[in-house]
Amino acid sequence: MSLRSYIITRIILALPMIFILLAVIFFILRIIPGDPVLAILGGKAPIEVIQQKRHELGLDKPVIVQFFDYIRGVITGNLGTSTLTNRSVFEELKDRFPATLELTIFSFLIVLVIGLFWGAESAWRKDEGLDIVARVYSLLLYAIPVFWFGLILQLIFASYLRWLPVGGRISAVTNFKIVTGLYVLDALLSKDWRGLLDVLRYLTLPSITLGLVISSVFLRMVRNNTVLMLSKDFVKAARARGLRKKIVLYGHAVRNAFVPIFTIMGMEFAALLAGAILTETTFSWPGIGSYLVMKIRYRDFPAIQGTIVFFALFIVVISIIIDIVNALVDPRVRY
Amino acid sequence: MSYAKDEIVLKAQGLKIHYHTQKGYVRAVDGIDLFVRKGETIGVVGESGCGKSTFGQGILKLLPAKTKYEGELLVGTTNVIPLDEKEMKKVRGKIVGMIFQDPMTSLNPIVKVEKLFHETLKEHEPNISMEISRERTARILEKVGIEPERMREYPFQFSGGMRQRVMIALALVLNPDIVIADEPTTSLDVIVQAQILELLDELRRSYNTSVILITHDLGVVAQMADRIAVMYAGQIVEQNIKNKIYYQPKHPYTKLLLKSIPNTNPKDLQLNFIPGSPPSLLDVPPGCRFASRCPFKMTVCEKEPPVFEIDEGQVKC
Repeated sequence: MSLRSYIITRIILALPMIFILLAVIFFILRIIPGDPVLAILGGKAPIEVIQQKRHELGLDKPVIVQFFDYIRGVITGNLGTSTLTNRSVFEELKDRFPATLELTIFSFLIVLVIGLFWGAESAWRKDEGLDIVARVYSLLLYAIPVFWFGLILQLIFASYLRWLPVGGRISAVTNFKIVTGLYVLDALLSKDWRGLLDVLRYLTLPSITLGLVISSVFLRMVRNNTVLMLSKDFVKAARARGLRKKIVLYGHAVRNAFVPIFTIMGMEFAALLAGAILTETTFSWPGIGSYLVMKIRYRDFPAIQGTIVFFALFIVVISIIIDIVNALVDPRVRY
Repeated sequence: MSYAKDEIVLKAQGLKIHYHTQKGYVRAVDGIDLFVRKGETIGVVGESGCGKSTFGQGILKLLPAKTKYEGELLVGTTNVIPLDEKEMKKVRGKIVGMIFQDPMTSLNPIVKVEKLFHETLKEHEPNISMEISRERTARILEKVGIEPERMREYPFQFSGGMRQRVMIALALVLNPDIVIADEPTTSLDVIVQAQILELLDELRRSYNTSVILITHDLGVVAQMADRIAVMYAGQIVEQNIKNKIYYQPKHPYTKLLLKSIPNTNPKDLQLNFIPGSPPSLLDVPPGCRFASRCPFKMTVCEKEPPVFEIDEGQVKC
């Protein structure tokens, strides 16, 4: 099978998965206690008003009709209207998504650099100093809750040392043209170097918090899988051909170590998003995570449902991308 | 024995390779004297755990980091014992090539064949271009009987025999003086075994490469080797030209080993074997290491046996 047909198959296979996902979200939100109409109007509203509102929201239709209305809505990008702000949930998510994307990208870079290089080098020097430190590090950071770690970093670097801002995403004085919503990219595009520095200062603590915590698991996975691969015959054979460490380690051992890692990376990414929710809340980062927490506080059901759908679709897209990268690294999955 | 010095491509003298373990040093190779002449095949035979593979991998110093090497090991004219990893890299692949036992695991399944060749060539000839390395890959693949177009495929798409051909090509692409073949046919079926051995022999002739053939299969060395070294418990107990080993074995171990080859004579269906097992290499008893299993044991065997020079070989008994 060529790479192209593999990608097409993978996308087609994702469609029923998405449908099931949407169904699960829809029905769970209808099973759990709590009436969205009462949440909007309060418990003491007259019965006519409640019925009126129920009709407005389409909640008086049969469940199956509601379900297909909702599916149609998701396909056309209509995730309903926030009961809190009366704005389209889709629009609100669109506004906040770049913040989350920026945070996850930078966190992921930290995860990748620490996990990949430290993991690989530890595996090469198994049981030596660097490796022992790596093992302690990954255990420690795995055990630390992400919000607590964020708070401690805030305390040290923002409160005591005053090197970095406590929270938020950008200073009020910084002003450049927003094109993509990714501030780092926008600052680069408008060549506003002071703006870039400002944005990076805000980005540092949240992305380090999230990146370090997630890197613990990743480091461990890379290290253990690389140790396993380094014991393989093909590594010895590569050394027997006189290849240098860089090629033996990264070109052979780590490359193969990633085959099993890829399959769990999709789940790791979900953990990254879950961590993002807590990190965003800790650092008042105006992304989708803090949006979800806020909406839950106000029982804004359409917004909650929309956000969950959005997260779910995001993870599906990411896992498709991971599968494609996996197919590039390991051609065996294509055949 | 005397040979012109330039004829000898490898010479081990009092070579010892001891593995580090928590219980102490395992004396896997414990004093080997052996030389290899240009273009000849030398078979190293012995049972499992006798140290033959350790010897093979020890030549390239591929063993775990804490392994202790002693004695002298000349590759060409360089003693490789004191060399560090960086200097060893110039020997590996370039002067000494290696073929491993299991072709299913000794080629990275997800790295394209042409890339395996390219990275190997590039390591030793840093300025080589992809085109030239493809050309050379095509040439050597053709020699081992693989269509050059298949270099664009991955090793996992090859059969076991084909992979071993790729492995041989990979070991020979830099035209090394010596090829160490560590049980090259053990994991292959009999027909493929014969093909691979024939190929190896043919290439040895055409490149005038020396081959160190490590195997437990006496049939394999009978087919290929010019000279044979028989190893037991980390030492060479007897070495000689092939026919002398087969028809006039001197050491009791060699004799018993040859007797234990199953034959197809219907009158003699008894399967011969050597009772007992080799001593632990962690704590070697003094004297002859084979004494405890030797049917000809004498009191003198409790002392370290001397080495006798016999016409073209040696026997330690």
